Amino acid sequence: MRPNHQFTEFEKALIASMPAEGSEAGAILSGTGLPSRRDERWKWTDVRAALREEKQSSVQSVSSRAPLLSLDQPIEFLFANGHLSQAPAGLPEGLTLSRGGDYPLFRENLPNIATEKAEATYVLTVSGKLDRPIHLRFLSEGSGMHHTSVQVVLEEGAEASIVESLEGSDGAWFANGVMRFRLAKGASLERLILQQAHDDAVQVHFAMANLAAGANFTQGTLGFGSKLCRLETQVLHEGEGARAVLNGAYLLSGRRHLDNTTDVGHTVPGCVTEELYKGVLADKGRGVFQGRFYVARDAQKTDARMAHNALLLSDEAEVDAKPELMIYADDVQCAHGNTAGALDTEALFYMRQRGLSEAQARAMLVQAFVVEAFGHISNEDVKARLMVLIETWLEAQS
Amino acid sequence: MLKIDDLHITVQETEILKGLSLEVPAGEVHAIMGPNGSGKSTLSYAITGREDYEVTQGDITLDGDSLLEMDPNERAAKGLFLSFQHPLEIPGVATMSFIRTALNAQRKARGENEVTAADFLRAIREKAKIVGLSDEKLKRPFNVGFSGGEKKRMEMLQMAMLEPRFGILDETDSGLDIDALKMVGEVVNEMRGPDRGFLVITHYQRLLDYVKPDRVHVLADGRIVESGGPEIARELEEHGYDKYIQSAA
Repeated sequence: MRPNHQFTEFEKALIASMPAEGSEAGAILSGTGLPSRRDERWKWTDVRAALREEKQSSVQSVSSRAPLLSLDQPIEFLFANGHLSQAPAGLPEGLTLSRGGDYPLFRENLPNIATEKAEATYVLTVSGKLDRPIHLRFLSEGSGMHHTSVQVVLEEGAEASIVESLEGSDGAWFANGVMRFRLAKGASLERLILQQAHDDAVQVHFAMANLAAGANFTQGTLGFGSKLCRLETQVLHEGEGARAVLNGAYLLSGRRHLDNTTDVGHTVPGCVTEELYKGVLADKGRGVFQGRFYVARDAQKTDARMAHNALLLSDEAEVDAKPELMIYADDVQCAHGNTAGALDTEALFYMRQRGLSEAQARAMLVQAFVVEAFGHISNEDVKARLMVLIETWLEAQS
Repeated sequence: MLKIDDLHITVQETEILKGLSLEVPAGEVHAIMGPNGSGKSTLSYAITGREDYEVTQGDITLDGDSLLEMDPNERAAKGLFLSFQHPLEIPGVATMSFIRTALNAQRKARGENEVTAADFLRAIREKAKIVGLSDEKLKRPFNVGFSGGEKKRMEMLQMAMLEPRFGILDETDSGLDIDALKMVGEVVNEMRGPDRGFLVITHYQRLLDYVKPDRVHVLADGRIVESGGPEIARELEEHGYDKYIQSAA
């Protein structure tokens, strides 16, 4: 127990809602409360401060809305305020849905809480090659709180793509989600996370990916922030020759906050991690990037590269970045780079001399900056639709 | 056409142009020659409206309208084009889409119809051949990985596509071989006409073998110190700028 910890009304209500017996998450929560700026890993994303008032559990329905990203023949699962309200009548061959799954205790407690509080842990198991994308739509609405827990298991050599869209309309809701990915030998998963929420919403979306030998985990993120939003992905290379790509872009305006945190552990030889995040900050937007590579002593021949570049469109915007390399092996290639800057005024003048308005020139330069983070996305249609979302954001700025 | 009257320009609190006057009538090509640091590039930026080039006195007009209160893109839509001395690479920006956006932005500002994708494609392919840029180069991000000469070819391609009323070539000849110089001459000479003017800014005479100027002006220490026919350029080639630098100082 932390000395002098004053529990907020929110924390008290959350603690009271945890099962009285056998709740590990509840026990941790009763001791330490929610993560706050006093925790090193949460120093820039103070969940406790963002959630002071008591919240009820959300009602299990939301008004229907068009998907943020329309996909070609998606296998769509719709979570309405945490409740799985729509699932396909029949699943294609090679995909099964079940409930259960084993729960590890995460070092972070919010995903533990999500696992315990979610209506179920849904497990999607893929064998063989799945041609259609899985689309998990997490819709939020109202002013309550809700939790989700989903596991995606790819059997040996399986291939799939998954889109998680975290969407929400008006309201000061709190959504807390945990995802677990388990990729068996040679499996391949392309993951895309899309986040867009209302100014008042608080979101934490955590994922843990375990990669067996030769597995390929490719992740892209596009986020627009909210009152407070954290997208965290932890990857563990457990088998030789596994590869992870963690790319992302974020565009923040108003007073929106988005935290992209990644933590990649290399415990065996010959694994590859490529990470590139691009941030665009307008108004009083606040971006947080935390990237950590851990390379164990046995993880020789690790090739791990991390870069985060932020573009500040306003003097009042803020970006906090913490790249961290912890390397205990001696024969590795590891690098990180972090930059923050403004738009190139020379390029702006050049483009305006050719006839583009200032807004057009800015938009073109911002898109050019961001698009690099989508270089890994193989589906051109999806890439084009992401660019449309970015264009819409840019149009709202001008 | 383009008229500059007693222009004073200050850049970062230093006066660079100190009362420059110049008139280029429609249909003519004028050359401005001058030693390094005389204010040649400042003049091209001042005409096209770059920020931080503060006009403290004087006026610049195109077809009788003052440009001073116009944004760079408004000046472009009015017909001004600058071939940059050091063209930029713009990673991530697709060349074709950039040029088409620029062309349509100008046309829209003038109240003209936008060009269709098909018409645009036909025109750019044809003009790319003239300036010597391959299809592969057009598909790259703007100027990325281009040599100095290729970047100048891209400037000429944009000028040919945008068809400005008045073109300014700021040391377009620097770093170009003979073939490329010929190409610049070809593009400019093809575009010369009674309604169009050009200002060719150069340090050397050699570009003027391909683009014959109607008049040549010598710029030294922020002013035009001499004006005359093409013979001035040949004289400079022979004797250099010494006499102007001394007389200006």
